[in-house]
Amino acid sequence: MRLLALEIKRILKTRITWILLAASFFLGVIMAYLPVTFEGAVVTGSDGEEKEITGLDAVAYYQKNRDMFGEVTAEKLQEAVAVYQQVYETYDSQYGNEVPAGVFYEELAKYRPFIRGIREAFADPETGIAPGVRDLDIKQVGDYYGQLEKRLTSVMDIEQKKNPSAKEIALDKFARVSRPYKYYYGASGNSMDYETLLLFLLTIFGVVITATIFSADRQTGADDILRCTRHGRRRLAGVKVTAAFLITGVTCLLCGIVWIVTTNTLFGWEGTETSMQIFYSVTSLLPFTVGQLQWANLLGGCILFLATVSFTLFLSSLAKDNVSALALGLVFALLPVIAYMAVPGVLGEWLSCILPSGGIGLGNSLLYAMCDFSFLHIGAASFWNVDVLLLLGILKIPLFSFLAVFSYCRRYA
Amino acid sequence: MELKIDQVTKRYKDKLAVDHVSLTLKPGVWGLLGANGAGKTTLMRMIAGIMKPTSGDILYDNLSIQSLQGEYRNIFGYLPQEFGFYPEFTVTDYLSYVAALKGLSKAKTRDKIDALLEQLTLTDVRKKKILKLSGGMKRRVGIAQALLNEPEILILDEPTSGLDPGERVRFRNLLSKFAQNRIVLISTHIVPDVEYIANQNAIIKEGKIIALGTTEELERLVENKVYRCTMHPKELAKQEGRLRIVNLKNEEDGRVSLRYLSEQPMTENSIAEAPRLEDLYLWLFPQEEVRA
Repeated sequence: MRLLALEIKRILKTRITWILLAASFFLGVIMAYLPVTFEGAVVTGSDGEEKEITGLDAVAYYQKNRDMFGEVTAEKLQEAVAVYQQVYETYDSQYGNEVPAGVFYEELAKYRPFIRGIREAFADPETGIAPGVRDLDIKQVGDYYGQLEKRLTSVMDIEQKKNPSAKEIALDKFARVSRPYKYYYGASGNSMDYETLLLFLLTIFGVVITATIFSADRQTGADDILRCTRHGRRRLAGVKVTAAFLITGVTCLLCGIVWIVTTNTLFGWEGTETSMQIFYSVTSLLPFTVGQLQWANLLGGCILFLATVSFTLFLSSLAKDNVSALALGLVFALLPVIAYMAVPGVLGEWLSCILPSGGIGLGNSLLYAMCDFSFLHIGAASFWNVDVLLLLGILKIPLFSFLAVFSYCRRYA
Repeated sequence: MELKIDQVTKRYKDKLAVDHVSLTLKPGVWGLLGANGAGKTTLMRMIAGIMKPTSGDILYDNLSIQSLQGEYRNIFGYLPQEFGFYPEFTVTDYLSYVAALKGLSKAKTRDKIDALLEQLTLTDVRKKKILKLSGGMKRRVGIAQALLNEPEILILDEPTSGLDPGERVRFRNLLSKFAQNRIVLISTHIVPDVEYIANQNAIIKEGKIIALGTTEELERLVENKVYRCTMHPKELAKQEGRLRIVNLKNEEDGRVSLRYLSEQPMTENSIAEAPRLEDLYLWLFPQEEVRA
């Protein structure tokens, strides 16, 4: 324990570590605050003048309009469609931005969270194209929850035509999603993107902090002395790995908690009760509320973060100098992002999952996987990307940690 | 207690750095003398267990150090040629860190660090970052870490580089006291570092031990090969190419006094001088300059 405390003290004494740790917490707050600035509404003042409000004022405005909060019943959905259709007909429009801003915020804004989902639920089963609001049948909308399973079946038929096992898994998972959905104003999907961006930046910081844990000793020759001591091999390597995990892992977790607390304090904690299906696909496979999704994204992100850190430690134990360790660490951390963008099709999907830092990124993030219907296949068997990412992440942590310790002990041998 | 280096060889891709070296080290101070690139550091690193020999073995009390692992490192102290340290650590932080790695208890660590800082006159800088210390002070911190666990085997690679003359003398005295019932191996190309304190010296050249013995025994190898003479400075210009001059001094009468190495006297007024270890070193490494 004394050695671990001394190693933590050593790492924390380096200036770059302090700067990055401070930057991490700062980012935790900033990434929570930024989505607030995107909130906006147009309200009519007591003088009859329309006024645009943004930021926290807009948040306060939405929090006051509580008519639609609570269970998302078929009646509420039918009401939403009816009002939308009436307003669109009045202004002969198809989209919200064709309606005068004052009218949109006065009449439609409170129904807005439901409309996208309703259109998605009643999308064409052959083409997947969602109908326009004016094309929706209000009577049919009354069977919204009955329609969801059919919608998921058609999605899986379109996306996983050759993989019936994927469809089975999806339907099985969706059966566990509790309905009716719930809605409260709060942090939305936009906000969740910033949590993912935060996790991505924290991973880059984590790579910078840990890339030199072993390589610095080798570069300066410090480990010639350390390796000649009683505990200077396996135990020291183990302590270095543990200290790196503790410092970066705790920072990642705490920054994520700072983000969750700040986000929900700014947007309102009630919003955490909203079903994730309101903001993402109506047939999303996870039975989570937005609050649970925030935590799942954070905890899952921490697993992927630690997998990346453990691989960086392994690279550090192999590298002869800090520059190579850092360069390799960053390249491997960014590789899934590059693979996702540059390698098309199944190979790209596999790569962005199985690479050491799989799931770290934006488009290829764990969050998007949790909201998506992507499956990986081996023969007739299918595996949901989320399960693959997390399972591999959990396996990578001990595997690369062991390899880091092993390679440190074997060096010079 | 003995440390046996048994037919140890280290071959790099295109170079034989250590060539079938055999040496049995018993308690006492051992000097390992050799020019730069002679194979001293490679041999030291193999003894320290941070480099594996290509062939041969190193045995501590007849057990291979490869099999002893932690047990061997527990009785071992090492100061490498390049003392790498953590720049962000203070002297005390660093010594506490190494002490923890050496398995010293917290209380013993405190006492040992206090004593070593006192002995190595580092007490005043104990709270200073190592990065900000002078070269000599950094070297002394390196020596302190090697002594923390009171090792039975102490290996010091060029320990006095960067130390001033006073520090060198203090360090030699410290080592002489420390070496009782311990094996202390000092690798150096600075002959006076080991001349007076080493019980045995080994001279390594091109990866091979070419001479081994006490200082007196080694000095005898150049008996009747060290001469002194005086000459006029003009004559010196003529003789310089012919003589292997060890020392040269301007005398008050305008002549120069020379100490040189040769199989036989090279001038009429040459007289034989008592050899010193440095003479043997220069005899064996003719390309080396005289080092103070």
